Amino acid sequence: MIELFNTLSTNNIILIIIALFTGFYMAWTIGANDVANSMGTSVGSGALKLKHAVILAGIFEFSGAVLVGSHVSSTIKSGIIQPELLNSPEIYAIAMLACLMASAIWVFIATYYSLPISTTHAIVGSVVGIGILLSPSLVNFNIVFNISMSWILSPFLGGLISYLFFRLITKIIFSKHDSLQSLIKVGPVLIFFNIFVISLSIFYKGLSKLGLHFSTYQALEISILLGIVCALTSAYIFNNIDFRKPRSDSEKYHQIERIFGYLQIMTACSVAFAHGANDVANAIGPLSAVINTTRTGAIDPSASIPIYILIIGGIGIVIGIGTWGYRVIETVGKKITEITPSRGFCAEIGTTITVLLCSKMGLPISTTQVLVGAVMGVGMARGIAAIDFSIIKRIIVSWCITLPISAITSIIIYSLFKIYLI
Amino acid sequence: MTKKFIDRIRSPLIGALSNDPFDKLIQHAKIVNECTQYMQQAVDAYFSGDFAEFEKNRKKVIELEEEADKLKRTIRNHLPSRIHMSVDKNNFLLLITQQDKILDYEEDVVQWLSMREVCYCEDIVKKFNMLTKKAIETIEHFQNAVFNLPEVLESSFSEEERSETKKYIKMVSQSEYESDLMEHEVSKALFEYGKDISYLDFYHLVRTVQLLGEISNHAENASDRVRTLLTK
Repeated sequence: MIELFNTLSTNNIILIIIALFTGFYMAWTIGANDVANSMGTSVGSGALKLKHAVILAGIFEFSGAVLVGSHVSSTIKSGIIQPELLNSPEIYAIAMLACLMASAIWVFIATYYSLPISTTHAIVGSVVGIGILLSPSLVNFNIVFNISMSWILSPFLGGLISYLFFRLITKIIFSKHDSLQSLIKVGPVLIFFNIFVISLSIFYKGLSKLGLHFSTYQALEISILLGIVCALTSAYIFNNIDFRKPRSDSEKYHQIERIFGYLQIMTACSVAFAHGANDVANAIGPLSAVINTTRTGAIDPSASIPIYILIIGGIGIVIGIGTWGYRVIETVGKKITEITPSRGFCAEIGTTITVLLCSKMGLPISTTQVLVGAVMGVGMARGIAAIDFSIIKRIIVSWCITLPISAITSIIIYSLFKIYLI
Repeated sequence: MTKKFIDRIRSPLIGALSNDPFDKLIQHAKIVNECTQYMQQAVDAYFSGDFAEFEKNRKKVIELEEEADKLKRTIRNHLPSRIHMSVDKNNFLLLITQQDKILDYEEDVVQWLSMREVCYCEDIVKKFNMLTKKAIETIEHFQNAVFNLPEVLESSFSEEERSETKKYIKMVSQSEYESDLMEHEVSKALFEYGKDISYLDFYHLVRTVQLLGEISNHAENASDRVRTLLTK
């Protein structure tokens, strides 16, 4: 790093320091605020102690960010706009820095006023705003269209998967006379499915940064194998737990929810993983663009995200969880106790699949909003006594204000930079 | 600063959920339970001639009826159209209405009895105790049905839990039927006593019989609402 700075001009050093600081703040706020959505239900139901939830969230957010985080980061950095059409690397660097700062400011304000906005929308809005300012031909409107569609479709997909999952669980577990035994039989299959999805997301077109390359078949094979190993292990554990025969119906459901509580720890970690994979891009996408461009002095849209930047993002998220996120987890956990472990399990599986799918496609989406869609899906499957549809309106309003505000703010910051730095 | 800031969380997840209306329904049902006990004590005290005890219990019944009324209003206010429930919302609200009607009639019974303080003969007392017991039995069956609803929800409407609830609903119908027969029998007996008791006594008692009958009727209406809630 020191050598790196020696070759740079003072202006560039300032740029990099501001970018590191702001990118780190974005990663921090993602960890501080958004991680609660994955861990909140498990802590609220008592399946996980707060301390353990923080540790698990840290591990899985970090691995998601480092292992799968590069796809969406590339979209943010050089997918929405085509930087190769810009002549000046300097302009690209300060434009990206302006986006990062604008999003950070808006996210800070929105948090203060408890607006349900997403860091994703802030960053995408500001990148598009800057792109249009520089030259509309720079903006890849196909990708912008795809991203907008994914914002609408992803909560529906999450909802649909969770709806189907809850229906399935109702049919094969709850409607059975001996539902506890059914759960013990079905549990390992559910575990297989979840592990399979996660490992596929890691091994399919992934890990190239670690110098590992897998073909589609190899990725499938490894994922199936890992799934089977975990399923067998869990089957062994389940069979060795001596479940007391429930004396009453309420005790039976209590036991079922307790087992789901354990299964939900896995899905909560999966959501944390998926969240890290998708949302770390909001912090490090622009950051890597700034660092890469100022370092090499050239625009290279195909440059991959260096792993150390992914790690910076991951560490930022982990610190966010450790310094503030744990309290948010506790607060959210207390407020969403209506989501019992079996319901949370289904919502989280739907969220994981949707978010990982979008991450692999390089689509920046809001994990939280997918989770809201998933919870609605479980509600529509008669899993939750009462859900409030007004949140849909509030989410749409949050899109409508976040996009223009972050676009305009980023344009203002960009103009200021241009006056003072160039 | 942080402490003030910490309450400000950008989480739409919290907004996606609404307070569980079934919690409040159960709470309301528990008030019915409590109120029924006071009504029973009031009626027992009245017919055994202990009017001081009667008065004490009557006040309790009125108090609880008022409390339940407030709760009923809160439940209604917390279910605007933007809330989606796992059961039919109109039916749910009708169930609350009917459950609340039970309390209204319990209040009516003690209020009507309090119109005059008379010691009735042992034969009449026995018949009224029987009738009150039947009304309370109907309420108890109905409450078992309501108290089983959370398990129906938890199991996501499994056949097993639904049939358990239906079992209680059938018991309500049976009790209500028996209560009707008893009502008829007691009224008929009152007409026979007609020569020996005053017109005032007669009217006082006949109306009490009718009000006690209404309690069972509304327990049955309410349990019909529970049955419609169970439909898939």
